[in-house]
Amino acid sequence: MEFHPDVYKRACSKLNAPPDAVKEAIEMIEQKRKPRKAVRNLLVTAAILALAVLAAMGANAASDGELFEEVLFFSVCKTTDESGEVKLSMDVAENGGEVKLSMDVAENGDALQNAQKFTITEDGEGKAYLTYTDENGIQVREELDLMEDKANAQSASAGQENPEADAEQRAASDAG
Amino acid sequence: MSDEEFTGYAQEFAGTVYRVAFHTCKNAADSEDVLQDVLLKLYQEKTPFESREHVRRWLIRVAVNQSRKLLRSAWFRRSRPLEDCAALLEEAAPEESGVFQAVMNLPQKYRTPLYLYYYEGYAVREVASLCGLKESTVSTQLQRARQKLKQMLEEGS
Repeated sequence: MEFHPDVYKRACSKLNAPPDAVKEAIEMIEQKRKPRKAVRNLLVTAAILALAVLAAMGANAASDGELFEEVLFFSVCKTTDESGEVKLSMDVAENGGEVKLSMDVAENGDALQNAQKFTITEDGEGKAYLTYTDENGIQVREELDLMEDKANAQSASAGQENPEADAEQRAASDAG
Repeated sequence: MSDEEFTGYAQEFAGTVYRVAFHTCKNAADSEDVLQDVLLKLYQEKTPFESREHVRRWLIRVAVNQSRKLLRSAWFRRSRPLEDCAALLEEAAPEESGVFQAVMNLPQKYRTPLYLYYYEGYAVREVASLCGLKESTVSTQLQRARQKLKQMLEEGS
């Protein structure tokens, strides 16, 4: 019996990609398209928040649990400038005032190394310190005397008019 | 590439990509995976296409490469399912099923050139280009495939 190409062609014409597979592939690609940047930015924000919470927890452990709830008075604000560059700024209530930390977030979301510019430490006398690098590249070390200024710290945090940041702060607290 | 162009190409050439993949992988699930990978690569492709035929050739070439890549993977070698290939044909006559199953029983290296030559209608030179083979190799593979098919079909009948 010979091989008949026409029979083979008729057989092949009856082998088709399942319509669901094609539809699924198109939908999968459509989903990949648009929300990518937004998702990436959210991940960056989440990473910064996680780092901040971890720093607070570390300081909390070093201060026998006295510092933890105070250090959580921070907020992260995310803005995008005209060039599309994402910037994150973190406000930390300190001594009734605010310390503002800003970090540039590259498009690829590689923000953690900038986020590591700040640290919260405690010395042998139970004092906590916030160390960060200011916009001139100078390392600044400030005491976080939060236990004595709890009311001021709370009011400083509550006074910030940034609903988005407040929502993120609550999310961070929940996560913590 | 606009959304409309992409969707149009995906719908028009999905069958071709799927059949190319099936002739290598011999099972539906892996062929669907190759189809999705190839469509994703089409979407990500930055080079503009000159014509629909250009898109078709590009898709076949990528499908051949993706299928081979899957075939080489350790996972595929371990878990290749045994399938009745002819059962996937929609309302095929017994004669068609028999020929198709015989083709699927050929060694893998013969199946894709055979498909491109007989079903897609490409010349030996074009099949060689699409499969990344020499023309002489493709000619030999087609000749041997026909001999094996004749032998298998005679034994089957």
